[in-house]
Amino acid sequence: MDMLYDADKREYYCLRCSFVGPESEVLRLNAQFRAKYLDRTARITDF
Amino acid sequence: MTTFYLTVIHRPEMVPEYLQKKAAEGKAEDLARSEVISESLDIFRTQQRIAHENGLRTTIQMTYASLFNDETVSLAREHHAKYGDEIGSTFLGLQCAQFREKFASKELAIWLFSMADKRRIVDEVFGKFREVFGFLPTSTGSYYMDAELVNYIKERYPMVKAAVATCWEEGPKAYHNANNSWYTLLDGGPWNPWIPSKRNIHCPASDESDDIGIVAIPHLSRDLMAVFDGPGSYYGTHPQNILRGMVYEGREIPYFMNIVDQYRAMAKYNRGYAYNMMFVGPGWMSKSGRWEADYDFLLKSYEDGMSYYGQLKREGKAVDLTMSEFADAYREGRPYSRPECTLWKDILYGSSRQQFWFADPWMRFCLDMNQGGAMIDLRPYAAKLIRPCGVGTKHIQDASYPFIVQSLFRAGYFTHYAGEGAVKSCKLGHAGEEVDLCACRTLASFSEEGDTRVVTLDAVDIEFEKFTIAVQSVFRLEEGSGEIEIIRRIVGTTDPNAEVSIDEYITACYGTTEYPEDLTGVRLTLTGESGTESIEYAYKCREAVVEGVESAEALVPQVDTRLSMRPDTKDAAGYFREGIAFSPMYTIGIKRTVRGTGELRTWLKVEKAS
Repeated sequence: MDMLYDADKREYYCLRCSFVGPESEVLRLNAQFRAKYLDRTARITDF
Repeated sequence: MTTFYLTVIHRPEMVPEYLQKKAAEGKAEDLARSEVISESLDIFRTQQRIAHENGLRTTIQMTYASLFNDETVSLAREHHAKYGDEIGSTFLGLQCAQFREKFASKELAIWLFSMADKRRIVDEVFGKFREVFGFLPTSTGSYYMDAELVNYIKERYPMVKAAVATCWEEGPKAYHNANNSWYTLLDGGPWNPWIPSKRNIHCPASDESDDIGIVAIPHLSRDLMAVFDGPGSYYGTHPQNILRGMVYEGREIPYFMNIVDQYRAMAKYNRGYAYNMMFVGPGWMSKSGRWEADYDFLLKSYEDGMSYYGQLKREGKAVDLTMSEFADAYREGRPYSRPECTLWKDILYGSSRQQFWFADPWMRFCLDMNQGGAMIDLRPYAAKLIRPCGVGTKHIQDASYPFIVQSLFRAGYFTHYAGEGAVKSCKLGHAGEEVDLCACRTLASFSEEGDTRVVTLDAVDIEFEKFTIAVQSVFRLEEGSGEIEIIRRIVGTTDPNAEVSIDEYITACYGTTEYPEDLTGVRLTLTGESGTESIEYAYKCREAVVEGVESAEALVPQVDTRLSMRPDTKDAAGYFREGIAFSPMYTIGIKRTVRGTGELRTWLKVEKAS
């Protein structure tokens, strides 16, 4: 929510930290964030 | 017999949440703008349709703003008549032109108003409800309702029997996760329905005289483990929030069904009773998408979630009730002393981690099996702290119930540089070597012996330089006792002549956030055969030991709590350790030495100090 997009430079940057990067980098980091959920595709019924 | 109760709640917000900020800034000052209301009403209709198509009844929580919209009122009446939906009230969605005119405020949270304004708002909302519908609601709600607010509602409108009263574990983590702009802390309550105390909404009532008069349900059923150490919003029975947390692959969200099924499994720990709720506001199904999910995905996630609930109902595995119906069902035959408990397992990160959660009128606590059953959260409900929130109160936005132990906020087992962190655990020692059970992962099982709940941990091996022991921990919770019995048992050893010390301790503090509170005024006391030792906390790192300990106690007047430990043997020593300003904690403990195998049995009691 703290990211803005600079259309001239075609990059995102963060208002709270020093992150800067294109959309591909944002999507890569999103995928990385998701990767820690090892059970995100598992259907668990045994409790 | 097992019964899984389900309540689905919808609310028509005339100005959905995602427009709230623009409305407050004046960019959408016309809060009656027809296209705004039209979209919001469309979303409400969609949610209702999805529920009904799956054979589910809902509770319609009419917002104040919606009471002025004839179409919404008409829809609610129609669905009540046709489907049996309940028409209830909510204090969410207050903001509208009429509210601004009457109250001259952009405040959106009823719990943050002054008590005088809360009373006026209650009367206004309930008055308008009666004017529109010809009757008063029997259910209501908000993200938070302090006991003072609910007491007023019960005084004026005694027919109210159910309320969405808190949001589970939305304290400092929620604040951080909302770029430090979510100015309300809501940690410390139960995760499943309860009958609150008249003194504090978070605390289960002790008895009929303490009963506030409603059944409270938390806003959303949450993943107890993921929410405890992560942003609460992402991990619960709110499909679009799961999308926000990116817990999906492709367009499928099995995680939603996994949460529901784990809540169903709670029947094993609660005498056959289990509960789940879904409460998604219309702001989460905007046609323009939200949190990087397009509308189609937001819609699909809701359809899939309702479809699963519908399937469970058709299979006879779920009973859909309105909020008021559930309140009646919940109270039936339930003693005030009955705890809510669960052995929760990780369904997100792919670990085998378990946590045992327990809540009764005396305390709420969590045991972490990744840390040998260490107690990583402890809230002294027995203190029944009177802690109103809102303008004019001491705490204003801090509506959390204080902790005595919170290992994430106050360091826990490992401290970075010096001192101790807040945790309750046990250390095993021999000839200068020491191992804390916090460093020993294990698994647990649950059983009952009459009215005592028992959590038995698998034994862990502790390797000293010259021998190895196996240690099993057992937690026994006798209903209504206000105590936890903890047994640390050396069940095996490779050297039957080796002496091993068993040191049961609690390192504690108090507060609601990560930041330390002043411990001046805390009193540490040891009582035993060799005498009594007692100090008033002054950050001087003093220590004391008493042989033949009868009681080791910490009196924490700031949260009106007496924490005490006692053993079942006369050959144990009790001790306390005072901290320093760089490590603002206090520790009390009981220690015993055994040769070969043996055990230490202690009780931790949580009481109201005054």
